[in-house]
Amino acid sequence: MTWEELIAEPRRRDEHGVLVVLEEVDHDTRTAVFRRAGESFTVRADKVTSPSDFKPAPEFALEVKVLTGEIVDEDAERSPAGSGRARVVAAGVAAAGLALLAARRRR
Amino acid sequence: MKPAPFEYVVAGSWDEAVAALDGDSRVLAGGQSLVPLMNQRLVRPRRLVDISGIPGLIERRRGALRIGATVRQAALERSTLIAGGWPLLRQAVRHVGHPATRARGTIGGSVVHADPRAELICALIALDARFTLSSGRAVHGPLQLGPGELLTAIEVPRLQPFAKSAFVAYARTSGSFADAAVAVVLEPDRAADAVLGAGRAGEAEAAVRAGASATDAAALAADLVDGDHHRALVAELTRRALVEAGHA
Repeated sequence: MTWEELIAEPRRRDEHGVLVVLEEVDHDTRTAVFRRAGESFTVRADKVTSPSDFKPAPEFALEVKVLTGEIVDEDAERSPAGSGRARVVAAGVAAAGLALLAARRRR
Repeated sequence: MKPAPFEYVVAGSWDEAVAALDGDSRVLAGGQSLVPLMNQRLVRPRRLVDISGIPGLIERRRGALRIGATVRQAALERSTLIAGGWPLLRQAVRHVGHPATRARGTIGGSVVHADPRAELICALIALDARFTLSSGRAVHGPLQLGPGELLTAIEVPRLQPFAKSAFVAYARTSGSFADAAVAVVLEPDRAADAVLGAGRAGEAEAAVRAGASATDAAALAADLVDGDHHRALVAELTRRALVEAGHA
């Protein structure tokens, strides 16, 4: 869905039949605030149109740093499974997290 | 009491609402002022045109704010856009009625009802707001609707960087209409001072720009109203608003 399509329909129902109302639109920052079931949530237009356009935003970089921190966790080094296996598991978790974040950014 | 019989028309768009209007009809937006008047039979429209279903948006485009007439006061109050760019509106709307009435009441309803004690109008005047009508006209200052005209949106210009604002009101009880209120906007090369029910205090604004103290400027603003008590109230509220906005 494009940004124009998103803001063209100020009232819609989601898959559960709950009314979702568009309350505010910031055309300058391409941000929209919707209201659903008494709660507000913000949607930002994705500026990335192809993988070559991708530049990590500050919040993205911060999240990656947290995941990297888990890889060198000292508890994992001393775990009964041994440091090698802990590193593999931690690296797997980090890779899954990065894939999830990348997918979230593309949405 | 119950209202006198009336015909009820739901409008899905501004064009439908304008088409449904005639000389003896009233527009229902949030109904927080009109319905009590109808219940007391002080107002007896033959037809009620309900515009509450027309979507209203708070928008920022090229730095300027546009608020749809059907935007609820509660939406204005919780808007992050308003809080960041035009905090005066958020300060003012918190003095309008109470949460239950703000959940239904609309900004357009407040403006069109034009109660002289309406806090939102006072804030909009200080912000140099412009009212957009269904006929295509745009009005600065006091709003006078012509026959078959509707208020569709309110446009508020961008504030300059480092602008400061304050809204100070005095009401005897929380949620009731204010006895007096003052809205102040101070920008590097502009000062705006609006007094509830009396409009802009031009002399006070000029004094602020010339470097007069908050107390001296407040005394000039008080000249807009009558009665010793009211004058004292406006003078003190203006002084407080100027100090809150950073003017010594």
